[in-house]
Amino acid sequence: MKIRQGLLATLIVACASLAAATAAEIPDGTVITAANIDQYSNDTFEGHTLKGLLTDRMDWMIRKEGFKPKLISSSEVKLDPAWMEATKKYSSQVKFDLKTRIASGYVAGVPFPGVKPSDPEFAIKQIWNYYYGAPHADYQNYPRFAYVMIDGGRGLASNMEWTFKRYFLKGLLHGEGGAHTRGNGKDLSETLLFATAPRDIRGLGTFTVFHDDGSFPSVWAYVPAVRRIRQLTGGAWDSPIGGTDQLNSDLEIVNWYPTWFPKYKYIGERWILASVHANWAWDPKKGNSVDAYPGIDLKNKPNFEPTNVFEPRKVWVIDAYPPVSHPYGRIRLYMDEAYPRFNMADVFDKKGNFWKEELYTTKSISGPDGAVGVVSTSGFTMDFQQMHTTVFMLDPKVQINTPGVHPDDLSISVLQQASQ
Amino acid sequence: MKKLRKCQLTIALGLLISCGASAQQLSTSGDWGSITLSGWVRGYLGVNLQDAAPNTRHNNKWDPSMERGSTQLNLDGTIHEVGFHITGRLTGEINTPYLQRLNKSGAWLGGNLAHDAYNQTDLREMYLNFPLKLFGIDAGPNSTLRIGKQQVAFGNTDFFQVLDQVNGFDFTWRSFLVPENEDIRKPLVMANLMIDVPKLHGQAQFLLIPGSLNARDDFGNNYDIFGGRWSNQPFHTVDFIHAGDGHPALVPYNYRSRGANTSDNGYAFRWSGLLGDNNYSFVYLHQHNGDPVFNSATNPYKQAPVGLLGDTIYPFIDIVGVTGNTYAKWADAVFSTEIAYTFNKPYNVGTNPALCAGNIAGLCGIKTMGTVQTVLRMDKSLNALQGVLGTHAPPFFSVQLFDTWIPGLRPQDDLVNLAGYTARKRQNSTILTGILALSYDHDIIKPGIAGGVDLTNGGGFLVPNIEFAPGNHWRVRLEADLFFAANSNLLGGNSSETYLFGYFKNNDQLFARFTYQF
Repeated sequence: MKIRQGLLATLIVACASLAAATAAEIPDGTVITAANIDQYSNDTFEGHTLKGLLTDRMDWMIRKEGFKPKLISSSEVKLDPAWMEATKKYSSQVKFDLKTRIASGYVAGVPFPGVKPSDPEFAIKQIWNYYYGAPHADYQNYPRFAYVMIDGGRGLASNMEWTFKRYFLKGLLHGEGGAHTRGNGKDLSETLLFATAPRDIRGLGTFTVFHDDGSFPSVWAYVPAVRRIRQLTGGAWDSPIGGTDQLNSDLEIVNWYPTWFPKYKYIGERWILASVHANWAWDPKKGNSVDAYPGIDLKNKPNFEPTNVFEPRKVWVIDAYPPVSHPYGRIRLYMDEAYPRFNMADVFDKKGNFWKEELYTTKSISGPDGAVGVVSTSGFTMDFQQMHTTVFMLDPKVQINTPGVHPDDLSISVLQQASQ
Repeated sequence: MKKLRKCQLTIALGLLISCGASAQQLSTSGDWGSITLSGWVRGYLGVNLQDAAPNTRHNNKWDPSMERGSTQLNLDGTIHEVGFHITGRLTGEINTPYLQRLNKSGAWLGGNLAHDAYNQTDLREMYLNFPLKLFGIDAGPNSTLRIGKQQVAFGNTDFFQVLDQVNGFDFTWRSFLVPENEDIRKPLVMANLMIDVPKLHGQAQFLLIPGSLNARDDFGNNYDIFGGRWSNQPFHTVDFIHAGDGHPALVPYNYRSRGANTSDNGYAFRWSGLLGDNNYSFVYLHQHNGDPVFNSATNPYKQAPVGLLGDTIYPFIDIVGVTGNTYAKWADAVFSTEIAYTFNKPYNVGTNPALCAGNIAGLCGIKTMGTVQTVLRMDKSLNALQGVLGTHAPPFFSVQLFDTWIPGLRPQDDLVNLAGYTARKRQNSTILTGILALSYDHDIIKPGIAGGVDLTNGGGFLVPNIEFAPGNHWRVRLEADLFFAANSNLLGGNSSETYLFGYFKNNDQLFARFTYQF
């Protein structure tokens, strides 16, 4: 018996050594599919095994739902030097109140750059890092973006086209005269959004002021069918955006004031595959054809998986627990360690069942004033319970820090005039 | 004037066709700006659920009351910072057997009801938008001058016209039941100056409406007073405004009447702003009264009428008003209000028809009185119902209370609520309306219900409806229009208790609308 156990142990060790010796490096440009995922599972990419790079959800999406990420070698994400300087200069001024969970004294940059996982408030401080410190530029000007709605199995259902302008009022990096704040100091941003297609929503516009005091945003809509501006209820922050799969709180994965969620929990850090040097996912010149959306796999079921390039990224994993009124039960967030942005999130319903996958593909772009901002080339909200997906697609003609734009250019009066 | 409108529309359509109109929304853009062509094609079907015109000697229940087709093209864009917008519309109706019977029995005397009342060729809007900075005027970043044929909606309220009296509405073909009131608002040529004042978080707006530059019949609300399908009960087949078949016009339109001359100019000022997160506005408007009144031949108002019994006129009025809205976190609702005082609102006089022209109540003259109109509204998303009803998003609910108060009204003023009925105008009358809108399957299926009740005089209406919106192009709307008349009279009966919803007695309809948009 002892001899047989010894022989078995020797054989196991020998097999493991053999496996390690034969683990290959997955070539740059390999597309991982259901057909080859097992073949590459123990192989490495930039020193990480494939299985170690795949979250449970991503692994399942590849095996069962047609997701085919293309691997590319990782490289540094270009960020605004002014953002890094502001972080160094001002982060020491930021205070965190344990009772209220509110960060105060913020000026610019990342508020808590050095927060360690050992800090009991690590999770919420990372949410504050995103809330204030995401590297988005001072002014975002999207002349066109689309919401593409896809019915899994039937394909492209409908799409809406919008224009978007957002002026941040705090944390400015290239403000006039070096100012980091505009306006009354109480608001975080002003956003003007208006629809250009289809015909029955053309001219519909919204103007949103996001307050930096935890109160609900103030929202007004111009309704062209009745030629009037209507004020909307601020409590819609956790409601769907029109007929899409995305809630208002899902925009860019996290779109809420940090204390609106009663609980956050730090889970750990790990490596994942994320798309941070993404290709443009929409070619508007190709109209409404399938070829207009190279960032979506519209040809293969379920017809809504992302097609883009993915590279290894180190992330913090944080569980966010919404308030009772919110439709979600828990959101598992994957936050890039290099800069405060969320690459993806797993959404669970109140019974703990997996519900949606949120995945954003991003890239850095430069502005005319030397600013650098990270924008989303696409954002997927994939509802796997209803097999329906909404994809945010950005026209490559996006601009940041467009010269000559003043915050007064964004106001309610613009709604009526701009929405013709 | 109709010929001029047809000519204008032909030119506009020619421009649109040369731009390459097709089934898809077309747009082009460059450094010079952008242009977009869009539009829709619609078919409408209305079916009587009741017989509103027994005097046609036919049971008209289940007969189609409306078979209508319409197409609208919109061309808009910006060229070197100058914005422009052109909308043209062509509409035609089939002369259904029901319309033919109404026509034969007296509706639209001397003409064809479907062709003359409901066929329309319209250059709806055509205007240019000039940023003031183009003229070297530094007046705020969003200050503009808009010149041309356009719609301007004052006030907060859709269903009731309180401050919304810059433009009139066409209520002839579908009464008040068109939810997109931009489709029935009657655009006017005007100069519209909007000056942004960012320091005061507001905007000043000035309107000048030159009467002589507008078609005279573009002013005021149009109602079915020619005996058609939306005539008030019991006046189906009774044409009040046209002459024909040997009959003179009873109360024809007179657009040149003193105090109601459409050649005279209208004007308005509005200041709208933000106080914290609360919107407000102040308005002054000098314009034609939205609703027409009848200038009696036996007791003329400012000028003798030309019609047999009188004229239909739109006297000028002066209105001042305020609006406000605020979001209340405690209720998670938006509360809105609109309050207007009309200094000289015209009303018809004469509850005893024996004393009036043609033995018609209200044709004893016109009296103007100061009138206060108030609207209170609440809009709310019903989050708790989302799970119960299984909707895609929280259902939307809106409730609105509308009150009209004539402070100086005394019984001896003898005002009627509406000419043609002996019902006396009450000093105070209140209407309550509500809307509940649901959505399913990612907004592809949208059922809803709208309703209202006259709290003062009784009666009401209910409009259950459902809209289907699959994809980008097709839209289908189905609805039932149901009226509940607390008191109503039939021809020859007592109309002393017939008020608003009594006018719609026996006019219940089924309605369908099919739209292809691009």
